[in-house]
Amino acid sequence: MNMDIQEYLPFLIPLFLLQLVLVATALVMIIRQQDFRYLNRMAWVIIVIILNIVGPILYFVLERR
Amino acid sequence: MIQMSALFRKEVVESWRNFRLMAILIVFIIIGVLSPFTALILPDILGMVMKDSGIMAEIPDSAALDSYTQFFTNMNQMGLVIFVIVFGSILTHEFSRNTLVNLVTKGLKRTNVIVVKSVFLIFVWTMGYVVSALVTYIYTLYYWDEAVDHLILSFTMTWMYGLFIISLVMFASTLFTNSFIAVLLSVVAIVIMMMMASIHPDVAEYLPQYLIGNNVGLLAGEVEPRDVLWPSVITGGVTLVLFLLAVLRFRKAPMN
Amino acid sequence: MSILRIEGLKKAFNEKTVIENLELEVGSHEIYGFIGSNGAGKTTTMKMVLGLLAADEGDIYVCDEKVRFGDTLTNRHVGYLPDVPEFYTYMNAVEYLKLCADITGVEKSAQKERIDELLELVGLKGEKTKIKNYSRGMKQRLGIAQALIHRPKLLICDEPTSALDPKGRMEILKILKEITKETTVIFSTHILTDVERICDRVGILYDGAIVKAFDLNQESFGEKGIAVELDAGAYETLKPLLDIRRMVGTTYIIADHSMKEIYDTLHAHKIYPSKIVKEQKSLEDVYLEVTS
Repeated sequence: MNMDIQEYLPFLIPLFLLQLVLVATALVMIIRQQDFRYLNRMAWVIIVIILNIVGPILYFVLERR
Repeated sequence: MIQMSALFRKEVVESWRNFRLMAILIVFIIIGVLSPFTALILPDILGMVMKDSGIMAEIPDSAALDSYTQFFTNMNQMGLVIFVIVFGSILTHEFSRNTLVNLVTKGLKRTNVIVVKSVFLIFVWTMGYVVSALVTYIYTLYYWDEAVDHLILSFTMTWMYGLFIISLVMFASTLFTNSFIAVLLSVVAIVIMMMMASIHPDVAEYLPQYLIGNNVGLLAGEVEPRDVLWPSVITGGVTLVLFLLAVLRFRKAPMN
Repeated sequence: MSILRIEGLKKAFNEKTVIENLELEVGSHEIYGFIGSNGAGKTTTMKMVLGLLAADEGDIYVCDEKVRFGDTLTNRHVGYLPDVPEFYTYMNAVEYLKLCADITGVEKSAQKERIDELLELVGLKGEKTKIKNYSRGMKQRLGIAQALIHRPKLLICDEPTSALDPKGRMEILKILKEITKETTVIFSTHILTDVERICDRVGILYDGAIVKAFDLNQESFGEKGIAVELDAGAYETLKPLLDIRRMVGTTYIIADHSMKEIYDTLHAHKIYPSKIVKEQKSLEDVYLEVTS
């Protein structure tokens, strides 16, 4: 199995980095945001962390207009 | 021309500052990486599952075709849906927030609004799609290095279908002006109607839906380029007509 | 030359007539106050002038050019400040005005100077924050700046002061008065003191038409009557003898009688007023008169 992980790194590293940018940006925006249209700060933090890709996208679409 | 470039710049600034441009690019690149990755690990996963359940079977190694199959599945479903959700409100949110009133009362031509927003959507879609397709292509080339038939045409079909969806979004936006939900629902309704009509094989061959149903068939050599000529021409024609209707309709849209 | 001319304007929403045969003419460098209750059709009229809504009947001319719905050609003469102006809140004031300047075709070389000049006028010079952090008053002032970017001949303001505190209102009125050197201003409101403070002419919109118009620089609104301040008991005695219109505390407003008649009546009944004065009508009196 260790061999496999090595072999998959060319995929896993970019995937991890891209998701990191998405989640980190969303989290920074959530922490800076004062008023929320839907839900509250804590709920968004949880959504963004738990639902990868979809969570940040939902946040950008619903809260950032 | 100055109006158009100013408005286009505004769209770029807007989508950059609310991070949507970046978000869609990231999602498209993720699709680009994820597709060959899924194709690569699928036999391993299948093998493990089968071993656990005690089934003995020979699982063939994945091929370049599997990588592209994953790409088209992801892009035609997830990619397009996320694109429409993230960028489909480009006109309706200006209505629901009344931000266009200031500009239109300054002599901003309504035609320019539709043209610039359409061009911007096409620009984002094309950029994201090309990057995503290139990423999948490079990985596939590196890991498999096998030839497939009509790769460019196959990629182009999904791109064309994207343009068709964009024209649908623009036209629906001019009809419902301030309701993004109504725009989403009408796009979904049209797609479902096309899927239902596709049950008849005779009809299916002429619908835009045919383009995203036969990417892989084309790559595998089961479908010939001339088979997709008519759906391509029809999709292109309908797309142009929808853009034109959006422009005409928007000229007479009341603004409150 | 008239800056704005409206002839026989009609507009109905779902069978309900809002504007019925409206006629209006406004000349250059005037401040025209457009007053009427909420829902009287002020905003609807303005939106038809701007080509945002279609008129059912009648013609509108801006600088002698006909306004066509959906066609924004005449809007190059017009600046518009909506009641609640909305901006791209992720921009700052300079970025937004730059966009407006490009849209209206202000020469690139002249843009910086014009934007500085306007920010100075509305007191937003050096304001670097994004518009999303602006107060209502700041948004209203930026609204005036964006409306004036292309030096329009006509500035239309929809209830520019209604949502503001007294200080914010004063600032807006001062700016409006100042810009009449360059442009004609039409503004709608239901705050009559604002109108009296800065307008040259006033039209009262009621039942879909201008029912009364005044030149505030020349006309007075006429006499309201004679106000007489008396003891409380005097009312019963005078009631059958004089036409008493209205009473405010112990002050009675008496109309349709000459001063002599009133003096004589009071004298005959040995009633001695503590105050007796001729009263002029205020704009509010006229407004209440024509809209009731």
